[in-house]
Amino acid sequence: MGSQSIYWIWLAPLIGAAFNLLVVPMLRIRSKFVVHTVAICSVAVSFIVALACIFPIPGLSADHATLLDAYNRWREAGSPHDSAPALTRHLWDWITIGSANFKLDFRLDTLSAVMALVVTFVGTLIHIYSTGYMADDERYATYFGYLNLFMGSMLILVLGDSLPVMFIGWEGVGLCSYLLIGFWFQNNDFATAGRKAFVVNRIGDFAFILGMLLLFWALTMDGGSTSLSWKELTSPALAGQGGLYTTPLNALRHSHSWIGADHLAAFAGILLFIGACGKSAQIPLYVWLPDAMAGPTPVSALIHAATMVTAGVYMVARLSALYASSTTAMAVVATIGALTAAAAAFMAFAQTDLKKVLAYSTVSQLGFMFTAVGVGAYSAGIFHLMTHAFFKAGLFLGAGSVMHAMSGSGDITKMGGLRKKLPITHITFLIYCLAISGFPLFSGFFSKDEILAGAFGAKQEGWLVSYGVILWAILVVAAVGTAFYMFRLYFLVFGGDKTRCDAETEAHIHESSSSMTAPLVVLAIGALGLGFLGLPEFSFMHGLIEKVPQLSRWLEPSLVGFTDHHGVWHVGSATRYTELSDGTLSILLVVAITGALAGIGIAWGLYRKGPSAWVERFTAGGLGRKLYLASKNKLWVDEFYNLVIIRPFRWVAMALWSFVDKFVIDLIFVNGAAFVVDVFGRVARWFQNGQVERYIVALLVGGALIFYLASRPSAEMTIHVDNADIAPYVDDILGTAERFEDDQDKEALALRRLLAQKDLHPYRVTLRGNAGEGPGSEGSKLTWYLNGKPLDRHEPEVTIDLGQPGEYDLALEAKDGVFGKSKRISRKLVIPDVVDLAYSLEARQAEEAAR
Amino acid sequence: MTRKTLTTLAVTLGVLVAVLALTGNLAHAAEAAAAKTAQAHRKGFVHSGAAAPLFWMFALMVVGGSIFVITRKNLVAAVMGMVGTFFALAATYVMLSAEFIAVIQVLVYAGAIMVLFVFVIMILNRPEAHPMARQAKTGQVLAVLASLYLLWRVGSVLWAVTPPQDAGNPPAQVRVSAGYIDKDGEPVAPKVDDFGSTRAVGSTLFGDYLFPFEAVSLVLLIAVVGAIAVARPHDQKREKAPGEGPDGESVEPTA
Amino acid sequence: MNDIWSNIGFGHFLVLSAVVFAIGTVGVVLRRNALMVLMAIELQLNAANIAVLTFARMHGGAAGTRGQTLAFIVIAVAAAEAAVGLAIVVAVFRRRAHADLDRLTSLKN
Repeated sequence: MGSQSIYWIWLAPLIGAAFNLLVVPMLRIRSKFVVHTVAICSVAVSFIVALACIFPIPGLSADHATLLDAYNRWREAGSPHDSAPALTRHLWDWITIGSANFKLDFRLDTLSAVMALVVTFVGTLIHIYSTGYMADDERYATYFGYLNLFMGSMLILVLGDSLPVMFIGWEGVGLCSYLLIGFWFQNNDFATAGRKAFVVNRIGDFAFILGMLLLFWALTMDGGSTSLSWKELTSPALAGQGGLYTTPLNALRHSHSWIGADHLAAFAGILLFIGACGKSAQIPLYVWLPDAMAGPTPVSALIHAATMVTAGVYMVARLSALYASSTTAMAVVATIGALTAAAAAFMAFAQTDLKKVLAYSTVSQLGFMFTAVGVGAYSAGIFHLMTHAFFKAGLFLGAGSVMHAMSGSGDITKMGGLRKKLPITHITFLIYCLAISGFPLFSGFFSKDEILAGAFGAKQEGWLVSYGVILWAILVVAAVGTAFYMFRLYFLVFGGDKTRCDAETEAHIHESSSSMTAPLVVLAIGALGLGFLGLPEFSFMHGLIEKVPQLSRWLEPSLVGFTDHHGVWHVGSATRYTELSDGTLSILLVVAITGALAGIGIAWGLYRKGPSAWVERFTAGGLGRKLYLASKNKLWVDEFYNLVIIRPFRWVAMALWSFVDKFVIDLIFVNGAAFVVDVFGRVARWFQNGQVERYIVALLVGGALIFYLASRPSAEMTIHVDNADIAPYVDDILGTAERFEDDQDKEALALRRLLAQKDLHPYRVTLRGNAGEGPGSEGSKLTWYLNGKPLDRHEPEVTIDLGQPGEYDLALEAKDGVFGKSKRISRKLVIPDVVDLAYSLEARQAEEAAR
Repeated sequence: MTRKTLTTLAVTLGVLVAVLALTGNLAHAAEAAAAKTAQAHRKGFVHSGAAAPLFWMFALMVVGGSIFVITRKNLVAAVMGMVGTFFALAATYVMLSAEFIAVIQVLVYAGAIMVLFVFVIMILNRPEAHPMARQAKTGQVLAVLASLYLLWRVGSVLWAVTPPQDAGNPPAQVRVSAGYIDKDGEPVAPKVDDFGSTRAVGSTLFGDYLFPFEAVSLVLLIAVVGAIAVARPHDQKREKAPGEGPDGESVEPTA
Repeated sequence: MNDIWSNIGFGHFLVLSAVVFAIGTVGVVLRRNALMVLMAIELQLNAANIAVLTFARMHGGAAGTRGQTLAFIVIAVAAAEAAVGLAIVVAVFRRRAHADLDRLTSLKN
């Protein structure tokens, strides 16, 4: 399989979705086996196709046409930056209107390959897990259908070759997120949570669309057309020196100066990033994620740990050329990422629901990722995305296993001592916790370390001198916090000897079935072992780094950045962003390890035997209590939004409803329209009551009307000016006029004589009129009027010598002989002065002669 | 019909016939004799002097008779009134020099059509409970108003019609083509006769207008056949009128 | 005044025709019994005849004679129409035992 078949990667899950959502209900298939087999197979097929397209698999892949082959060829060609190894497939031209040239194209390059593999692999595992977890649910097929739909949308997002195609997937995952969060919609709170997710997402999507439109406008400003494909958006024309990205907006045509002098890239980048905030739960649009824990746990694992929430990071990485062109955008991304990382970690300290802790943890880790791509460490961000997918999905699945054992409860205050009772879950959970805390040699350690190093060494033009260091510091605090709350969670759930729940629940505790524990094991292997893909770049390790496949090298062709090295714009790789010395690197490493161990240690000290008495004392009063409440209440952000945004909106909506909807639309338009129709209907009905007399009445009334209209007086009139053709005599007239220039009277006299001599009568009019041809028109009397005064002329044809040029008002009145009614029509007549006419004619003749 | 009614009818008929005969002659006499009417004729007037009151009398009878007809509850009375109106109308036709048509009017209209009406009334034999339509006053008022308006408007226009010059003169003799040519190829024109006479109208009818004549007779044929087809009793169950017996005959005493 | 009353012109006949026509129309509209309506229709036809004959007299000569021929044909056709109309009334009466136009509303809507 080569590039021809990459669309199967997203199509297979969609076929599975169609089967489970449409065919199963139609044919009333009740077999769970059929349902989950189709679902798992469709995702597995997707994974296998992706593998075969990327790595050469004998028997499946096309010869020498896999992505790996292309990548190797690219490397052999010297890694040219104007071409990239990729498998593309053009499906069809989607919209070709005006300057929009959107195509349905898909692209499997090194970046999207990473994403695709992560998504399909973790997705398959979660599908397998769901067979056990959702076994008792009656909407089994619907669940798997939605899950497949989600997979398809996510893969479209990842494989799309242009912003619009990506947006299709973007919207699709938002929809599936809504459907799956609110899966148990019979519970009002769950349904609300789904709605909240969708609405907040939508706000982000709005900004995303604005960003797309801004780019579209900028690219088509001068009349070209664009498809907003990655190739276009990362081309030198845009991102290079003097390119469109770095043009201040008010220098672009049609823009107004108040928008500001900042760059196109900044605005577009920030707008798109707001969209990413919505999707990837950053400040201020993260509020949906904790509530989204209302959905089934596998959903949380797939969507809110591994896949959907990483779409934002992917987008920023994809548009690395755009972001690299604007330090403003990058600063915004990095800052928000860092703040989110810290704030979410803080909020996780006091949560008592297992999944909520993990939710905040996701938000926090996403903050890490955004900080990474914000400082230009794109491959670090993607690497952390990858490792996070494994251990976070594993954490959620493990949580699901725990909750399954605890009969559905997620309250960690009632857990404890589960490590003996749930051995596999326990071991894998421990692995995940160590990974996320950055314990050395687990995968999380490597990815987090890369991010920290990137933040520390970020030297972007235009930033504060040590801004990167500030970000680094925030991230370190967040990392310590991460370690702390994760192990708090671990100890409260698995630590100690006694389980703090009631006897009935305790009796029920059992390890989950293999369908649930097998994925846990696989993910744990990944959480342990993937670290090698991003080794820290110590100088002494260069030899090793060359031999081991590194993610940053793999991503190099797809993450193109343009950097200014000493005044010269270079096309450079966006993966190697900093050159830190060995010493700095090792100090950072030590700090990171210390922080992780410190966090783990504090948690161990406080919670190893269960809920901590010290913490209870600490949070009983004063500052401790305030901090505790702040964390428990999630910094009151939801309440703030409710007050500032939701309540006013509700109020406006109510006002609009009661006035506009109820009164204007319902009463005036809907009922009013019905009323008008009714009135007309009544009138019409009156005529059709079956009685002949009624019809005759209608006839009579109509006849009377017609006869009235036909017997009204009418009049017609035509005006004809006698012989005003002075063209042959222009010279004579002008000569006469000039001769008597000073004396008006003599001039007038001479002109009159001249005109009479040549038989010209430009001031004489002949009027013809009649009284129409209606009944009674023979007996009608005609009267002519000149300028309002009756001329006492009653013939149908009169000749009047007006004598002078000017404006005249001629009218004819016809008086009906039978009824005495009269009708008058009038016309305005403008007679120009003969001399002026002569001048204008002469001018026109001269013009024609000149031509 | 009672004997009383029959007598009244006969007397009325007789009187009318007498009056008609008399006035027809009188009208002609007045027309042919008076010299000053020639002047009136040039002005476009048809009758003047002695004949004028005759016109008003007959006109009054026509209008009065019409109003009488449409306001009767008793259908037979209405029919009688109609007959009277037709007689007056025939007299009016005579004043318009259309003697043939006048006679045809009496013969056909008063003589045949009204008799037909009488027959049907006898079949139906139900006096109207409420002669005037009770329902829908709106429609009635509207219709009457519309009719009056039309009357006024059309009447005004008609009143102002200007006749051609010398139209008032007594009509000259007429020579109409017989509709065929003689052996020399000239159209044959039979003897001249007075305007409005039988021969004049007959020559036109059977000459130039032979085809329409035949068509009209076809119309009459169709009408007869159609009337029979529509009105014949169909052998099916039908509602019985209150005065009907089991075999469809009327048990009420008929006149 | 003198003129109109003692000098009868064509206008008088025409106005007479209009008046009779109006009376006939009012009769058609206001009466319920079908036979009455038919009689009023006959009145209307006669009014039309008056007008035709007046114009025939106005133009005189061969044209006028043609007008009278038209009046003749009108009478004939009126006879045919009356026959058919009466037949219909009889048929309706047979079915419904009344000839009340106000109650014959099966053409409603």
